[in-house]
Amino acid sequence: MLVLVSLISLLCLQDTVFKETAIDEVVVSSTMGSGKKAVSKGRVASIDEHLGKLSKVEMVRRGNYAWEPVVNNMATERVSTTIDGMKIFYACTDKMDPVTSYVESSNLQRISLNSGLDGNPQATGNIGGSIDLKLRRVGFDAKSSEYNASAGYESNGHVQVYGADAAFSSHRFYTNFGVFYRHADNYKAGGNETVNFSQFQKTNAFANIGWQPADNHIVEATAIYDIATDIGYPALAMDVKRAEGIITSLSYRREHIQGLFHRWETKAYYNHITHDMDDTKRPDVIIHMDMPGRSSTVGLYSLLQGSKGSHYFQLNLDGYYNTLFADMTMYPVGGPPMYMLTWPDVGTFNTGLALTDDITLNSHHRLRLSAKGAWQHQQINSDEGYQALNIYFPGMDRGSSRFIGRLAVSYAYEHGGWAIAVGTGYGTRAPTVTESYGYFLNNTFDQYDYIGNPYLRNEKAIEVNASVGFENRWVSVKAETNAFFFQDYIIGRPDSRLSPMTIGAAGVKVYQNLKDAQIVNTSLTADCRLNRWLQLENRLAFSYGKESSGARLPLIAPLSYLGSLRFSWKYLEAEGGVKMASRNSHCGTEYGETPSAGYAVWHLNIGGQLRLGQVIANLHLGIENLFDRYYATYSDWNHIPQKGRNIYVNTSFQF
Amino acid sequence: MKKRSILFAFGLFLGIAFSACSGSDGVVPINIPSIDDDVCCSQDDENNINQILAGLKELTGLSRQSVEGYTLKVYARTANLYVGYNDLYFAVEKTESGRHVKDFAVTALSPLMDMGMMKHSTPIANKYDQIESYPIYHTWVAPLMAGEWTLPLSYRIKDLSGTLPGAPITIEATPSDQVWIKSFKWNDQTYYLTLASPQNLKTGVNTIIAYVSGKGDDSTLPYLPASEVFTIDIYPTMPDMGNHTSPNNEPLQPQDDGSYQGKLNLTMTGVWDIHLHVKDASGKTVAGGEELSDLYWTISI
Repeated sequence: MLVLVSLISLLCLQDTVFKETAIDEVVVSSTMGSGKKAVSKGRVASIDEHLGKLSKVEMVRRGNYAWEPVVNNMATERVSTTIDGMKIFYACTDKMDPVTSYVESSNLQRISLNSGLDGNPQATGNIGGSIDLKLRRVGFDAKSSEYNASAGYESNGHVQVYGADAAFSSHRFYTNFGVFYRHADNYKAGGNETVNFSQFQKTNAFANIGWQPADNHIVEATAIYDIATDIGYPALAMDVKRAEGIITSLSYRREHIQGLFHRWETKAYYNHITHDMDDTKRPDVIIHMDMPGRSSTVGLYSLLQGSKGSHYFQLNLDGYYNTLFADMTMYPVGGPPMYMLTWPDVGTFNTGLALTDDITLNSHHRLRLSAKGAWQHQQINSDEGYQALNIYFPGMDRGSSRFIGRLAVSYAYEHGGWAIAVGTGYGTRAPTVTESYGYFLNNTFDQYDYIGNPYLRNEKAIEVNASVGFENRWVSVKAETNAFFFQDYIIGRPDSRLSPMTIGAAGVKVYQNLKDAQIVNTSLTADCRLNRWLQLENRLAFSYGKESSGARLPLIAPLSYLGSLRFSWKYLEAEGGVKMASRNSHCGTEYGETPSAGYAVWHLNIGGQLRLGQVIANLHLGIENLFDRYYATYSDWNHIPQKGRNIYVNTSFQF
Repeated sequence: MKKRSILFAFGLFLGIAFSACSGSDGVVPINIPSIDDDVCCSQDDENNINQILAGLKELTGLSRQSVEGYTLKVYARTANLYVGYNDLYFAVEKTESGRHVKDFAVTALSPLMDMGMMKHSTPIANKYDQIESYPIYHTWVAPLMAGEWTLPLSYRIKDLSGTLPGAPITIEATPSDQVWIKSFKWNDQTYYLTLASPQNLKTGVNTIIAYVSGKGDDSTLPYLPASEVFTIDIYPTMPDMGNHTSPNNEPLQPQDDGSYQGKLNLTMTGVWDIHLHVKDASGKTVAGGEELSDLYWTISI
């Protein structure tokens, strides 16, 4: 298996997790194997729980909802997230709504992750990696009708999950649609300690339609409406009243074209996010404030896929226009309101051309090239916001244009159970709207107010990666490492001349280009099949991040170990395991990070499938944090504790 | 410097151009007959004047004062005046036709507050500037306190001249606890610091104008711009936000026209205290002090 660009896929439809290489990505959508690893919570698991299953992905938690995926120890700024190739941008200046929070498990077929600079064709700015959430479409010529219903309950926080969907398919037409509802009260950390403001509720509805007027001419449309309300963020000073996403797309696809290219897909899309924060339920609010954020994206991509001889290639042209607007109104007692734009209605136009070529040299050797070049223009549309930034950057331009690109090459060798892969890449990313034009964004992690810097240069990175693996009937062992060498690394640095806006803030940080920085990730996995029913899995991972002054970067994972013993027999599966991490004593103290303690937490689960005539029933039962340990991981914002002991049960029916 | 001389030349040119076309003074060889030869200019200009005045409000109680067939009209940004800086505008109409008169002048505005026990005046611009070359004149007055004031003035309309006592008017308190005028004492003299156009401030970089006026020995005479030269450092803070301040403010420096000009940076809307540090020509502190001095204006944007 080519592991260089490890693309890990998650097949929600089949409740399975399995690994794929980037090369295999195109055929994955029709793959519905059995005997894959079960996601212990099955269909009702949240997107966040699914994402957390991906190796190389960690989740930053600010509460019990909307976790931020971090890939190769790089967060949203350095990761591209797309939904079926569609660009979508979060609308909260405080990162309360990573875009993965606007979809629900039932919307998706799988989540694919490309590690590092070798991104999916629509990805830009993906130094750490690119995540593509693949939507679940029933497709043509599937079962003429299918109905799913699922329900779940978790004891900790009284989590309730209900979902129902239906699918109809023929040769000319298909549709699938459904609704999903999730509700959680405050959860309890280990030792029965209630974590206040950790509640949420979310409703999601989706519909896909496909029409094939003539064979191989396919028109497809998607609509997703997702609304979460009353979301608590125990790690932050505010909660969220409403986070609403509307995601739509219309595409045309040609299949089985004769000649060089055999497939052509063009998709137009539009999405809009409305995000409103809320501090009205918090005690001790010094000044009540409203902080709404809006994000709108309209875009188009056109993808050609073809093959010739040993080459399989993809050519993608894409363009999008996104606007980000956020403001803040504070209401001091007895005084007039205070108003500022925190994202000054920034319009970003980006268009790019991507190329990938997978070359099968022979049965043992494979080569992959991928490249993308993009041009971006960014403009401040709000006059007031521009005038405010002018205080800090006198005479700054209202807009800026830049060219960004990436290039990655990888080579893989496979023979006799051995798999060796090496790769390298170079890429640049443009600063985000927050990094360029953010205005007094308070970060509760280090207690600083952040101001963007319109004069930032593009961040550049060189990636090198290598892996060695061996696999036979009984064992599978793999050692993997990747390293990122940054130039002009973008991070906020204190500017003591500036006065913070937030009462009690430690100071003001302005985003700067550091001369250089490095992030290195290593992992060792060893799986062992003890007999036909039992499998032992082990994964050890370690990461390291440092910048030019010698200081450690913040939010870099400490040494961690995952171990599990898995049992599977016919339609019955069970697992017991442990997750351990060392104290992250080498944390980014320079950047306001404080060490998190080491921990070990255990879990148990069992799941099975039952066939009753036309009905397929799944039942899952499990316990998380078996010994009710009070703990927080390094990526729990402000060390908010994780859930204590949690017993869950869920079931789903398909007929 | 070069820019200023160009402006001056341009002004001179305009002056010549207008005096040439007005035909109201000097030797006019041929008198072109018109319906009313002492009114201003063309219908186009009349329209422009009306447009400028439409953006202003007639000042309640003082707006229309009659002078032998003419009406002197007084305008301000709002119908009432407030404590602190107020713009005043003057225009003269031919009462009969309502058309504006070109040849007039307003001088010697002498605000007075009669408190019974004592009387006092207040800072004024002592300058009457023409608005774009139209017969509208601008000046400012900065009443020290709310209450009843009179604003007598002298006028000349063509050949007529005289004094208008003006009816008493009520000066209102500055809106929402703002403070646009402050005083300090130096060498036994009282000075007033007036912030011009405080209602025009907005988020961002503001070029601000201020005036330093000296109270003379006779406090019933208007307080004129001080002849002493100061530099005034400004330090804006938001009292509601833990005295959050802004960077890159530039001190108020004396200008050729007698005003002081500086840069005030306001990072957001709300209430701002603009702390002042007045220094003399040698840099010695005259009043206020660094950062959070107790000498400050309060504005709200």
